[in-house]
Amino acid sequence: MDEGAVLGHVALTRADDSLVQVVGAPAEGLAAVARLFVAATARGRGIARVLLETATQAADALGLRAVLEVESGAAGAIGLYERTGWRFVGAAVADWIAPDGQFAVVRAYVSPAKDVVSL
Amino acid sequence: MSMPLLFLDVDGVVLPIGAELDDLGTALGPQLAALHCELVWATAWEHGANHEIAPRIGLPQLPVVEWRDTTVAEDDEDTSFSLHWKTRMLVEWAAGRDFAWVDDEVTDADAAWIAEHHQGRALVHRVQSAGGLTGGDVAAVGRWLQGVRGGIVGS
Repeated sequence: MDEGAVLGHVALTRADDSLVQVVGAPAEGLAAVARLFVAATARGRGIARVLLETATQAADALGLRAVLEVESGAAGAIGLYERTGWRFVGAAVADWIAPDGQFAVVRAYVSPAKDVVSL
Repeated sequence: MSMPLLFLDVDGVVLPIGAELDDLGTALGPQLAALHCELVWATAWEHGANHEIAPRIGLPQLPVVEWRDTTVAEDDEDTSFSLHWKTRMLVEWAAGRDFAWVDDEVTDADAAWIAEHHQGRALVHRVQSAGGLTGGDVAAVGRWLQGVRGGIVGS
């Protein structure tokens, strides 16, 4: 039906200073999952899960720990991260304005550890 | 009538933020088990809470809320109402049964949404994540459960 269409994308980047600070680990060992996006017409099909897993594995392959940050009001995304084993490590006030007119609060997450058996 | 449910979070509640599994004592489990309710894990740990947490704090194996993926419309509504990601699924799970929910991340927005969408009575009780669930928290939930039992409406 949507063969050949782009359903979503994800990027792996260097973790910025604020994320590194919240995570509390050396920046050299981290890779930030960024631009995780699924097209509106393709949502609800588990694509975000696959993209997240792909990015985490790419970070693993580079010997890096995947981390990410998410706006604190994004319940859907936060639920996905927590259900898939990402660990909340702290929150910080961002330098950009959220839809409610206040400075955004972002929550930082660390990917599930590969050496820990997931239950 | 079935007993009220008590939805239990793990991180920041049963397991205070910064605490290790080995720090958990066996005092909390019996306090919770003594409440007049059915305990249910409502945590991202899902069945891991039964494997890793329950035996350490002296609780039997409990029912577990298994989270589902949400729809685009649900995500949008959750964001616009500033809801916690668990809120709507707990209302679903309760299916009209009275419930208390202890979590370190719940807000008045969750309580208001639950009041609007849940047929039974509900207590949304916020726990301080650094200290986790205290004797005071357990007592507050216990008082609410007593009230429910006695037919007193409200929280």
